[in-house]
Amino acid sequence: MTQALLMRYLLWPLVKFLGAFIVVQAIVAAMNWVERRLLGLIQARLGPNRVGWHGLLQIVADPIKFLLKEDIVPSSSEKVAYFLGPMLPLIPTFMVYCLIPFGPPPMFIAARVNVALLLVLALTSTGVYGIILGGWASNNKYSLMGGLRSAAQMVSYEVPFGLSIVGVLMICGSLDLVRIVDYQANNAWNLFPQIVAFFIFFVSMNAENNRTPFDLPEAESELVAGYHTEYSAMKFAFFMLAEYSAMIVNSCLVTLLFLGGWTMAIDGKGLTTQQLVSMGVLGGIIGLAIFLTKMMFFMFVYIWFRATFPRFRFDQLMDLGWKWMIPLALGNIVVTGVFVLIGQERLMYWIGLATLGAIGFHIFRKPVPAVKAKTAHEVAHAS
Amino acid sequence: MFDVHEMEINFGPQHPSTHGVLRVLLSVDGERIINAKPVIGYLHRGTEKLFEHMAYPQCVPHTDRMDYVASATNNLGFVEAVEKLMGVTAQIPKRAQLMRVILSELQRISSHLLWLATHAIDIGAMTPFFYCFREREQILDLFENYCGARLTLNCMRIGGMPDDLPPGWLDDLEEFTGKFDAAVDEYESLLTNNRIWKRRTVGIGVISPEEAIEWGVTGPPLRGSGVNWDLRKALPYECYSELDFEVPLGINGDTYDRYLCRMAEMRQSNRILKQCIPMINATPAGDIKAKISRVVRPPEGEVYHSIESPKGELGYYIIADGKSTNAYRCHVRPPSFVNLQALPAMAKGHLVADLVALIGTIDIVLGEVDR
Amino acid sequence: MTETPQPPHKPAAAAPAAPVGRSLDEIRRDPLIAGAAERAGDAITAAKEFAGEITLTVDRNRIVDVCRAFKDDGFNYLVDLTGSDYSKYPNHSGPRFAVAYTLYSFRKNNRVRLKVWTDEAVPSVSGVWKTANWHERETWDMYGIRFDGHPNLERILMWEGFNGFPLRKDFPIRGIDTGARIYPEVFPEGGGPKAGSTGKDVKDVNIYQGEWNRYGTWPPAQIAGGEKQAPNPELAGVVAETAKPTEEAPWHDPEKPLAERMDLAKNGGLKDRLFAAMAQTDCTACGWDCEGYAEAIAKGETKDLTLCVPGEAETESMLKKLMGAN
Repeated sequence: MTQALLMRYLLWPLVKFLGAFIVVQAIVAAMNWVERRLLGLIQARLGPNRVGWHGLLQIVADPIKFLLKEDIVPSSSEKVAYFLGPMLPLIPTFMVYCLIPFGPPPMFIAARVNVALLLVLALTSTGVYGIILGGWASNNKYSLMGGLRSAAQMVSYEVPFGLSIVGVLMICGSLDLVRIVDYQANNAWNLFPQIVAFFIFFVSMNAENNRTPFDLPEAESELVAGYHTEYSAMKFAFFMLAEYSAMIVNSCLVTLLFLGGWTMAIDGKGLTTQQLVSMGVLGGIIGLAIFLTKMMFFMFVYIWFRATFPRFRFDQLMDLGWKWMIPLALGNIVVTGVFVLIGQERLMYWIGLATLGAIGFHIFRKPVPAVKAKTAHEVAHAS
Repeated sequence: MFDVHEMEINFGPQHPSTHGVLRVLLSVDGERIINAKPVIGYLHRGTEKLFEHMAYPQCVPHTDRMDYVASATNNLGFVEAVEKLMGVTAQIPKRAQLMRVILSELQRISSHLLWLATHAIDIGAMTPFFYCFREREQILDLFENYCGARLTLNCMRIGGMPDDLPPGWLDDLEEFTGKFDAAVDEYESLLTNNRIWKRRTVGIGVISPEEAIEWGVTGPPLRGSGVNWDLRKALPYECYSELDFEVPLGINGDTYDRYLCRMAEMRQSNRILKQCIPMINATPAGDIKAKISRVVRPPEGEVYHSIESPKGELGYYIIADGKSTNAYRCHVRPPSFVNLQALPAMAKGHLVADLVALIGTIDIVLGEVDR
Repeated sequence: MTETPQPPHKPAAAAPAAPVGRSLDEIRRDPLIAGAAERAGDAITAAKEFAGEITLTVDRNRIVDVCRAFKDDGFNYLVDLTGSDYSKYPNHSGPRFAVAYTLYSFRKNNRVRLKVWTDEAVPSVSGVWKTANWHERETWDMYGIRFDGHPNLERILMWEGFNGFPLRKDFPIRGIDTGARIYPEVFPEGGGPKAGSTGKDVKDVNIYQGEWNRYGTWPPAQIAGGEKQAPNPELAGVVAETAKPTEEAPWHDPEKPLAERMDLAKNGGLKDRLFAAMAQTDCTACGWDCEGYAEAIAKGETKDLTLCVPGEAETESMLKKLMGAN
């Protein structure tokens, strides 16, 4: 009995966690290569293509380089905090892997918790401490400013990030990620009824991860390298690891909350969880593949954004967070509440679909023309 | 009640976005700039002192090193000043004049491309950098085909040009000019109507026309404030008076208008280049040097001559004693140096992030600031 | 505000249309400057035309008023402000420095140059044009011309505490200290770059052994105060030890002209005569001090007679003469 309990509650989850950990770390390492190659593709250049086939061994070469580099500790830094800075954000991000179902349960989830979503939010929001600590301990004004920016930014965007999920919870009626996914498989993706929440969640998650256009804490042209200016070698790699891991966690979350996770079904028809489970191991693999595809799409969008957008200024970022995102999220909660109250959730799906259609029509109406901006000269002569 | 600490930040000289070795001493309250004091001189090489110890033709390569991203215009200003001093300006053959115009307009485009690339990356837009360098590379290839150098061209001589255009060069130029307008469209499609770009540039670093003149600001920053003044139109040199082009003007004098001005200027430069090709084909090949003495010994006197460099008014003030083949005194009026002086006035009250945009929009080259 | 320039003039240099040699009164009546010149009155003391450019010489003490008059008359853009050192200008007499102000009028679309002569100070026009601020700092930095009334007259291109004014004609083009004199703790003796090394008897170019206050007084604040102070006694001691006349070498004095030095050494050997031909600044640009270089030439260790930088052509021709005579 004890042995079975141990198996069920300790050993088996540990194995699954290790599996998830290794897979996610592999994705993080691969993302490094994917990001650089994709940026190269977008920016009319090549990207890493020397080490191995199409530069694939870059994935290995980079960690080796980080490991072999000299680990410089500034003499005037606060040693303990300086050391803790890169470690702190890693621990909660790794813990989150236990809670995320990467495929149909019970195979692809290390620990199924009925308040998983809450726990995930709680854990991810602690990532900011490492950045503040690292920025402060470096004893460098640029690092300090980077850390402070990061703190303000993460605190501000934590609010719309959390609020945008409330609508999903009201519709699905659960904090359990598996049940949220199942609900979507039996109805439709939450993307449609919660299109506003999806938008807010997506923007906030970019801000949470300090990605362009919200990459102010590490804005190279302003703060040299922001909070990690003074970090080198493996400590620097840890910051990068934490950032990419957080990106993956957030991509997983948006997949689970809005895009139906590992299922591919509408109104209970298609590849629902039951369907996949009944298919055994094959079903598991299909579910995992669906999940990873959706997740990688969001990773791609991260990179796409990075290549496209300039950077916000700090006060503009705060404006956007407090004056637009939070009121919008609150409004979304009220509207969703009204619809749920009058029992017209179905109507929301159609509204969302229509909105998406309108957006799509607007974008793809005609081939996007090269913007013929008015030259300053024309402007001057028109007035 | 609270102890308010101003933080002093040393912005540069080693910093990714100071475009060289500019150092700005910042007093900031949080991120708001209370005072910005540029500290320069890290790249001072005593060019003016060197000029006094060299014969006039020897000075030309040294002018390259001042504004090292626009060396052709530096050459042009110097050789024209010496020609003015010798009184041989009217003798320069038409073909040489057109070649000078072509090279300096290509140089203007390449300098503006470098400006756009770095300005955009300062504001966080990464991709325009690579697009700009793609076109700039083609211009540098053209330079290389003409004079063998890509950056420090040393491509003009007192009294004319060193060499005639190599065969096929004009075809390459024509191919480039044919494609370039579309390339500018591409840059503009990334930035001009981009909301984030507008939020970062509109209303930043506003300088009124009166203030701009008071600070001696020239070039695109002056025209961005709406002052219709371009030396190519106001005091035309070479054969600019025969060429048809417009001077783009801004209205508000902010970073966005200066951006629009430079973008439009690139189009206008391309327009000039397109006009030059048939004109230069009509001139006899090889007629590129005025018949002047090989030993440059100007009469006693002093001249100030300036041209419209990509950054603004680039002037040379030369005193000749009439006896020597060296300039007695050669002073350079660098546009970057003067424009940079307006930085504290522009930066006051803005955020640190805006300072980066402002350094970009003034378009300084430290080699020229410090000489 | 949009300034519309007049139809452009012809390129000034292409057509020296203005008759050369107009008198001061004729130039004063030139439509370009007539209005301003009237207001400036007799502050304009001379006028010259060259290559179509008008240069007006202005009374030093009234330069601010003149500039204001020109600004009010439309010359609202100060193009350039710079100095020049006329100490080696052929047949020049009068004050050593000139400060040239190039003004531009958008309305008249032409430039005019004002020139002021001085030996040490000029009133600052930074109150008239803001842009004059850095120009004047640069001129101070390069020439040591003081601008009275300047709000912030400090070095701009050279570092704070730099010793000398680089664009003065007597400042050598190489062989001056790079900070060792001022920051001995940063530049320890024997360190730093070396020039002209022959492997033997090489001295550190960083340590300028000449009479350092010849190139201006340091710290500059003392000049700004207007009173001449004795140079830093510590440094002065070092200087006194090196470049000063001794019993054996009475010609070792940079202040003496070459003819006098040669006269003092006329009874000495070849080495002494060569020694006397040097500039006597012990600048070490050649790789030796003055005596060492003379000795090296005399012993045939070097055949290069062109290494003496501060001595310029004078020393070189004398060395050639001496070696040729030998």
